[in-house]
Amino acid sequence: MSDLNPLKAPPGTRLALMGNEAIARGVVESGIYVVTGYPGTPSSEVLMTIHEYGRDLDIYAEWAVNERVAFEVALGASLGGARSLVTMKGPGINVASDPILSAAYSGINGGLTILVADDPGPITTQTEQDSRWYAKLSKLPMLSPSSPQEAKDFTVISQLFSEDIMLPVILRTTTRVNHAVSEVVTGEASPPRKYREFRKDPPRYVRAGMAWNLERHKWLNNQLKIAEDLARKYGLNKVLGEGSACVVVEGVSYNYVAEVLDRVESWERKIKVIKVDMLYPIPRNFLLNSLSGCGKVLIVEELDPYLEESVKALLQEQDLRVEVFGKLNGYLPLEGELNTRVVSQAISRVLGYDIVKSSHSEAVKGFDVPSRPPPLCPGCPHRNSYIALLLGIAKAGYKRDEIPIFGDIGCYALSVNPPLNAIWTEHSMGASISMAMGLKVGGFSKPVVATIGDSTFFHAGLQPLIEAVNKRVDLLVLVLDNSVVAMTGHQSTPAWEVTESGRAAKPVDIVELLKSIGVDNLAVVDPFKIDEMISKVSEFIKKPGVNVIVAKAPCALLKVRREGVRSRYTVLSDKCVSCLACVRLTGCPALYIGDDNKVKISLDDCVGCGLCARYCPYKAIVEVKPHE
Amino acid sequence: MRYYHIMIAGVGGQGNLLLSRIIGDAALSKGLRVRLGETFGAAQRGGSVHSHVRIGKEVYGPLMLEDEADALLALEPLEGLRRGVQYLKEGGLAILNTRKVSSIDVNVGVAEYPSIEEIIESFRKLKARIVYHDFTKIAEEIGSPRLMNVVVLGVFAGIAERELPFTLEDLKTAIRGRVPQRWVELNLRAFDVGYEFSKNYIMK
Repeated sequence: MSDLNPLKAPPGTRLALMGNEAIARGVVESGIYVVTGYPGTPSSEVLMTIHEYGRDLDIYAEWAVNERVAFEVALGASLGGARSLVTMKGPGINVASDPILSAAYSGINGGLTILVADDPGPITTQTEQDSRWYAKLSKLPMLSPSSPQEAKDFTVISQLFSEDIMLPVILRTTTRVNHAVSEVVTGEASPPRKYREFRKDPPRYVRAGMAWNLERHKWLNNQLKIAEDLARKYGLNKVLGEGSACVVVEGVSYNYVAEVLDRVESWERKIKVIKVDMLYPIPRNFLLNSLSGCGKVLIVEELDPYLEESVKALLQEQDLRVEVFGKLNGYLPLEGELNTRVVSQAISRVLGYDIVKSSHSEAVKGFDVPSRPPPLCPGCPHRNSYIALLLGIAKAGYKRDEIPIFGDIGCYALSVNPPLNAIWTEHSMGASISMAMGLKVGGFSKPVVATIGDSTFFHAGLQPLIEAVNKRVDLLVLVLDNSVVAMTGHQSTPAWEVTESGRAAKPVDIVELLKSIGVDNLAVVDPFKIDEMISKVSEFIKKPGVNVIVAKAPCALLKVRREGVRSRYTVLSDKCVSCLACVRLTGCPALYIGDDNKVKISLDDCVGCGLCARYCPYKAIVEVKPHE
Repeated sequence: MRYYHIMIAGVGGQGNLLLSRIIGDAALSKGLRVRLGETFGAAQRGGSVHSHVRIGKEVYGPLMLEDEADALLALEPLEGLRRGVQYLKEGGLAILNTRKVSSIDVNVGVAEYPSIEEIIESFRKLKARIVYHDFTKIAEEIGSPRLMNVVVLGVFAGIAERELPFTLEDLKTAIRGRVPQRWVELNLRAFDVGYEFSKNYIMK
């Protein structure tokens, strides 16, 4: 439906948009030409929205191999005058931080927005990293939208702001902005700004000259002085209501404060809300003006006391006597995400209102609802790979718990859950190989295994493997190649021939890469030929050197989408003795136990991989062809 | 009406997010403010997924408070119980699909799946108005178990017709806007079948 196309709807249209869809709309409205990034929840849908709704728009919208490369691509485009945006989740900015810090010294030409999406909760991220500190670290302006509407508007502002101040601008969001849906009113589209010129200017762009670097640092500090004027120019930072009871808030937390105050009769005459939209540099004049007359101030923000420390420092510097409440004195938590109830309790304690009463029925409290950890999908090749790995380790004569399996980031980290209980670690992109190597060089004498997916290998696994080969470490590496970035919603990898935007790409071959790095033994196996894979694991795990098994089979969801389901399996009830071997070995979510205590297979979920049948001791599980 | 809150609970792959977007579009077409809050991204299929749908003249936060849901659309009974206990207000409306989706913990015997009777009993303790049925079966009869989410929406629309801030037609328009063209007709049929079901349902 064209009227629902968030990128093409005419200006003034009211749409219910997800924060990330709104940012994609912001791309169109601000004339951004280059959009790149690396998939990561909750940031992925910005590029995905452009791929879905804007393929015919003249925008370069492509996933990059990792966040660092993505940022450098965006920076290069910007130096030539093109407008660009780079997207990543919180940990992605750690990867991109090296060039980001240098870019603050070089400055930019075309607008450059760095979208970094943090994840208080955490809901889908390894840490509750607070990326606001990156603004302070890199000395780059940072804007913080509170809603999908602001996410769109601030995307547009970030580009203009960036060009005015000649610096990349960080647009920092959190999951409840990226993934929240609310009404957004569209603005005017703007034609993409492409390359204009790139002039040779070594003092500006070459960081090899130390005297130049010192000068550029002075330039950077000087540029930041105009930030607050720009914030005013673009209507950032707001004060709502009045009174000596004050709340300082930023980002999504503003909604929780607004929600609480909406339930207080004429709050505008009692409480002043100071909404900070520019988090770096801290808008000193704005804050000092709005804090004057405040007797008490509650700082509401998620994760670290970033604003709280800034406000405290400012008050101390100006010798202002204002009581500050927040995380540092225990009024709000330092961990987890906020919500209306938590914010209500803090506001009630500080300002003396009893706003949102807890009245939840006690009737059903104490009912223990069993948890539902996300499983590997039916037919997932990773399930086969880990079973083959565990059985291969056993076949080589080792006990299950004496061979450490290092995990990496992707769907296959779900192998930590029962019944596989496979991986021992999962830290950061690519860390499986280098950490396994570290255990060995630290003196561990038995074999070690690293398991890593194809996209993660491209992202950050190559260098660790080079290190391991070069230092002659004994290591078994499983590259779990399912041909796609699966966990974040099926994005392309460098092995694709055509990207999501329809661009013809030159596929990079993982096997050829492995050969050229010089791994000692290399095998490509099909994890659905499980006996072959078991043998290969037991053979390779004992051989010296860096040995790599590429387990190659497409993601089950991708395969079904491409080819459909060719056959399914069913349980012959008269043969099933309820031993549950199939369930306990595979943990496949298509299997369930019926009222007669026998195993059943959900025909709607089974994709016909046959793993359960392979391990049924009673041959009770049989294949059903589609038309039988 | 200050707010109208709907909690949608289910398992990844059941079309939970699509339902919240359809309801959001319908409310938006009535000039109301809408906030949808959901968590997704970690699991493609099979994990616990729930959506907060908040509609009102002024809504800000993407998440409703506990004990604030006017209605619960439970696409799966255990997930319905999980979110219902947390969010459904006393006397709220629960539409419960009784088709179980087992979990690994239950399959391997680490956890026990409560009986449908126990689940219904819990809702009764919440004084919920409850409509329960195997809606997946109805969807299968229409043509695909994937239509179950829209059957549930139709049931909900029928039961709550007079308290909803939008009309049946608004919901149907939203379905046409959100569902791929070739699936529109089947989805509208699923909606109508759900609606008809609700009109013949006698609440126990």
